[in-house]
Amino acid sequence: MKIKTQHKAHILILSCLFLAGCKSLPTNAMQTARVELTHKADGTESFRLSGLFPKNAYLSGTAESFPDEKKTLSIESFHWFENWNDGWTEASFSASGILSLDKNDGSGNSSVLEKPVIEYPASATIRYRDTIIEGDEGLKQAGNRWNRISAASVLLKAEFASGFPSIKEFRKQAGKFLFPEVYGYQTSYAKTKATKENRVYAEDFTWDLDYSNAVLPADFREIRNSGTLFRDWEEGSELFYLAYGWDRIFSNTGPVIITFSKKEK
Amino acid sequence: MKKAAAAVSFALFCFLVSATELTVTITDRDLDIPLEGVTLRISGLALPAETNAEGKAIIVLPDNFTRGTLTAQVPGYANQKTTVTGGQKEMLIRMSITDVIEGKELVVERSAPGKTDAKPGVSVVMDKREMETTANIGLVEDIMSSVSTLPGVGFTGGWNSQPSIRGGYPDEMGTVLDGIYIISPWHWGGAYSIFNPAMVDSVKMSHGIFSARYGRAMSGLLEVTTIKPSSSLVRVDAGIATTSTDFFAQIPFTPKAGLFAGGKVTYMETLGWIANALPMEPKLSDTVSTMPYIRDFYAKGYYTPTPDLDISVNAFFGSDGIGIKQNLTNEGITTIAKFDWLNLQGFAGTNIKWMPAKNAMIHFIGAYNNHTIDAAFMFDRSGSYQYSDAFLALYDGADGAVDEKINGATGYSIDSLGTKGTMKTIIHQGQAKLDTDILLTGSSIISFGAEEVLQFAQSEQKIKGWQEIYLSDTPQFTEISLEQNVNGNRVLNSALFALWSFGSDTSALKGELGIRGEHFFLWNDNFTLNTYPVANPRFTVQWTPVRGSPAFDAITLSAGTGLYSMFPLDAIAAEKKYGVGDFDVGPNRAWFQVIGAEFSMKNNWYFKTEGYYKQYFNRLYLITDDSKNPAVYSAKTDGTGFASGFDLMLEKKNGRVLDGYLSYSFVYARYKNPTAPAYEGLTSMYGEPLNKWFYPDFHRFHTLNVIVNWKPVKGMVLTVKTSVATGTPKQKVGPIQVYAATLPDGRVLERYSRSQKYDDSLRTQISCPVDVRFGYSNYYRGSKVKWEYYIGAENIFVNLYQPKNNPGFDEFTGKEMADSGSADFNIGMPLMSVGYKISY
Repeated sequence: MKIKTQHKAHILILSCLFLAGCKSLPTNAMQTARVELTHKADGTESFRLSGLFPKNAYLSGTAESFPDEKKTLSIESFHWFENWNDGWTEASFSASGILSLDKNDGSGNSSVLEKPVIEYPASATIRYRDTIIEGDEGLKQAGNRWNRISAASVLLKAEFASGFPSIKEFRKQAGKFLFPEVYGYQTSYAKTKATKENRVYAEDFTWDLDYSNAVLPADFREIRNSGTLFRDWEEGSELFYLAYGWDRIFSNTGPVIITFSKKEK
Repeated sequence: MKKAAAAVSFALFCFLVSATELTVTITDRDLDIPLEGVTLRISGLALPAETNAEGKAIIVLPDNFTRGTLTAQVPGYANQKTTVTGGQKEMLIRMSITDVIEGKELVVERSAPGKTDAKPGVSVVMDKREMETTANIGLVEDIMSSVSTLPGVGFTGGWNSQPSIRGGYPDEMGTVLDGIYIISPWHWGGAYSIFNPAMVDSVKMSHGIFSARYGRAMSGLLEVTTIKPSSSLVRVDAGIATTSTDFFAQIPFTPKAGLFAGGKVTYMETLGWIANALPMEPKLSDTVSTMPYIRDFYAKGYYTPTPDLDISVNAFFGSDGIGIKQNLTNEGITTIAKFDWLNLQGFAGTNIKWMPAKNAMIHFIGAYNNHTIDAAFMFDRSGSYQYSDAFLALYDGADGAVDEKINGATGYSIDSLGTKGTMKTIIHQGQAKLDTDILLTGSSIISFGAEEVLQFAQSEQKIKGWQEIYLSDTPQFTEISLEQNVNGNRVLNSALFALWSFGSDTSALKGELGIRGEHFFLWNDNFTLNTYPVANPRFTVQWTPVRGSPAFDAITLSAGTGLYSMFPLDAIAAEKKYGVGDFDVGPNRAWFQVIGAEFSMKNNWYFKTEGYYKQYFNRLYLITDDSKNPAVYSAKTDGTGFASGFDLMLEKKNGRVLDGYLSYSFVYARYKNPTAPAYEGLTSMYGEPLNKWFYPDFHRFHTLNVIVNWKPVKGMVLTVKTSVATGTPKQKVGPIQVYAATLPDGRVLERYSRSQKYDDSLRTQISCPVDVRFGYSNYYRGSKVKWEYYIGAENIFVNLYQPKNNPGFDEFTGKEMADSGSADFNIGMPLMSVGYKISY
């Protein structure tokens, strides 16, 4: 049932639980989603889905209701915010995908009609120390970073197929895998003796070229050896986690229970 | 699954109802050519489509289709998805070639090296990041705390932010803020500058051969650039500390216009309250009538209607003051001391940059600046003294009777014997500058410009009291009454300049050749002081023979030579009594040579060293011969001198765990005022010896600064700033001796005096203050608000060591005054500051 206001109405659907099976979430546990619906003056309806991602991140798009009380959520964008010690990044990604909500007396089921996908950054603002980078430059830098992170996520998915119980554990294990010079080598790797030829100094760390050669694809090594990937990690580890776990969030195959409440604005 | 199937069925149903056509065009993103054979699918619609040789495909959409996702796929290209809405008839999709991983472009990005505006042989630059810690230590946060640690900048000690640059007099340093000359950018008589770190974007200290674009400086040009908002976002920076609060906001009104505004207010009353609560006598409130304060406000509006036109307007108003009163009675003697200081300054200016053509830029600066000082002081004593045995041993009998009395008295009484004075000075300054840059070829630019600076001064000074004059070994205690009224002196400084700059940041050879013509004209209602125009050619060159080698990012060698001229600020107080007329005097002049080398190494390490020699001529000095009655004033311009030395800097920027720098300066500076003294002991008005070479009172041979920022964990910075500086010239003093001072009414005072004269070999002790700051900062989780807590302490070892100078003494008792022999200002304990800053 819709609640109409003169200009705009929000419907809050709280505690939208996506029960996606034991392999569907990075944490292998149920997560709470929140869907906020907004009725616009032109009769259309938009939505904002959060709760599955870190704070301040959400999917948005257009919602559509059908006579049988079903509702589809067509995803159009993904909004991201993350801060670190020296700044923050706020980006809006073009995204796609369709979810279906089946309302049912304050709770409902959801299913994935088309798997949500983050496409590319559409706009971005970065604060780095006292500098604000926005517009084309912000977009370029955010785009480069997203490309690197999504590429790294492919490596991480291959290395850590079973997922992590928490982002803390992800940081610990993935950090060791990507940057053993900083977080310590995995016991399974036989560290080579450092020589002038197999070490390079960048970003105040000495990077192990032998490790890069042994573990990483050829075109990915310079990203790590230059310290660029480590800066990405320091400034956007939550985005690494998201890229790594994205498939799990929306890989559900069974019905999803949705609980919601309505609130007029 | 059931729900998904239902949705697909519903979509198929919709498709069957009716249909419209969507034409999709696919191109290669980089080559902009149509792509053939791209498969297009829309979610919920069953049939895929494929692009033809023109990169086009037609997809039939049902009329009731509202929204779906279109996927474009073709081997070798990254899949592209986009949203399709109902009724849409055309769509352009640009696809990118797949690269090795996930079809993404992987860009290696190096960390930014920071500001590159510094030029070897010309200037060093500190950006906001580099000043973040050193400028934010202490009672008053001040960028001069950072600038004073740069190579070539002399150590000043506490409570003094006016440094000597490479052996030059401190007032030879010029200061411009956003291109506007500032008359006197100081608070509390020079203790701190007006440049709040929160309003400053970068500071350039040109201690070498700076450009012919600038005049009004001979030893160093401090160019301060305030923040210009470059973002469409509102930004707020605020800080609250134990003794001050500042707040600055960047407010964009439109993408083309905005405002940067804020201010700083100190409230040292808090220190007063604390001090008054302590069990100490006298209470601070009994001795400080007005706690020291600074109140500064700054605003800058900008408007960029087109990329070719940039207009900014800025204004500053600052005030500082302090009031001291002391009324002490000790053993029947009452000492009253008062000092009141009010300093007001403000400016308003405009900066317009216009590019009428792609290869030309016109730049206009217009500004008005006002500086007002209103000060009064008083020091007098009342009470009765008994003659001491030592005094009687010397003077008993001088009255004809040896009776342990002088003129029949065993002592004397005084009532308000002392000195008092007032000073009020107002200087108005208007300036206008117009210059143009014309790009000839590649990186070759010629520039022309003209500049006018008009100063208008009103000054009233009155001093009434007593002073000692040394015409022989025993001083004369004489009453003085000085009055100086300068009303309406005007100085017009006109300048023309032309320069040619060549080379860019990537060129092997770059430099600048310029010439600046200067003319000074001073006039009042009753006299004029015209000067001959002077020409100041300047040339600098930087040669970078190595760039991008395995060991060095760049090695640059530099050299430069140039002439400088400056009309001393004192000259604005010129009067007829100095006996100078048209073309008798000219501006101070100096010829300056610099050579240097800079090594930019891997991982943000830098090393630079420069050596220099500066020859002074036509240097103005003033003499007051007070052995005559009335005193005879004279202005001389035959002063000479030289300054030579070298300095170096080793810096590690942007370190993850450690960064900072070491700077060292060696200065050998000697000056001479060739006029023979009218009597032994006569000095220039500023106490410098006559007719002999001397080291100026600010001179130090060696200054070493070490700044270390240690970052044990992210967000935590421990800064240690250590300066070690050899001493300044110390006067050679004689013993404290008693003498009889006879007042006009016949009373004989027992007074104590000590002769002092310049000595080449004496120096104060080494100064070595250590300042410490600990800060911890981060962003609030999930927000754009950054916070920082910090605690700082200046001169933390002051209780263990203070450099010694000659101690002071009481002129009525001859006793040395306790704690009066420190060569550097201090309050006998480290100056602590604690604060909290937020930035949004």
